[in-house]
Amino acid sequence: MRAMAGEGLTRILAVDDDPDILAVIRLSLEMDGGFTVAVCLRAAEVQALASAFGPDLLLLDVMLPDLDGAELLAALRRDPATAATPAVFLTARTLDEDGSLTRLPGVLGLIPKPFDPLRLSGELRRLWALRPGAGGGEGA
Amino acid sequence: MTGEQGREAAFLAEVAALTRRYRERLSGFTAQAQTLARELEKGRDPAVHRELRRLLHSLAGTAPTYGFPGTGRAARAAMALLDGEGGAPRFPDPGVLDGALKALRSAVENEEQAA
Repeated sequence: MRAMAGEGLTRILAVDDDPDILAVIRLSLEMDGGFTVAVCLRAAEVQALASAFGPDLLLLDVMLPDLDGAELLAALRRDPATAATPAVFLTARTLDEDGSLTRLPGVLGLIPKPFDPLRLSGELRRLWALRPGAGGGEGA
Repeated sequence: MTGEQGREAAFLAEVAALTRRYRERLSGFTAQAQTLARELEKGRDPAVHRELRRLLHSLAGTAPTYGFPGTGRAARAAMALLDGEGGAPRFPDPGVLDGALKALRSAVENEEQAA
């Protein structure tokens, strides 16, 4: 089932405006992945929470009502606490058609919605292993 | 049962419980959508439009994650009726919107029965 939290990846901050999605993300990442998880419903509260929590990885919904995910990431990049924190986007779009999201600094990839709660942790570990400087490859 | 198997069983049981609680709320979401559609029909209120779209957007993204893909598809179809050019709000013909919400309710009922 699980290969406990990947190398250097233990703390994940997940941001989505839907509490039902956050509930299943938290359950999946904590129980299946063995990660320490913080969740946030509102973009306006992310920066303060990120500074206090110190995530290794940001998991950001692309479509937030008060700010879209790219704008939120840009704001987080201006904060020294999260300037270099790797990020993964959750998106209802099946593809990042023009590649604009995955070209943003520090973005490891996209996870399409709907996602499988039984596979979410593994998918994040896979993306984490592919980050620059990770030795690149499955199982890193 | 090994510790690993026990952890996996506990995780799957929690996922099942979360799914059951979500399923129990689905018909409430459709009723709420129909109430909002009736309000929209009366006054074309942009705040009501936003609330209805937000609800349908949430169902479209969340229901499939909990294993209700038909509900997600029906919610996405209803949501599309509310989107005009360039993201501007659109106020569809009430009969058309009502038909889409009835299709949503049917999808929920079908998936509730199948669960």
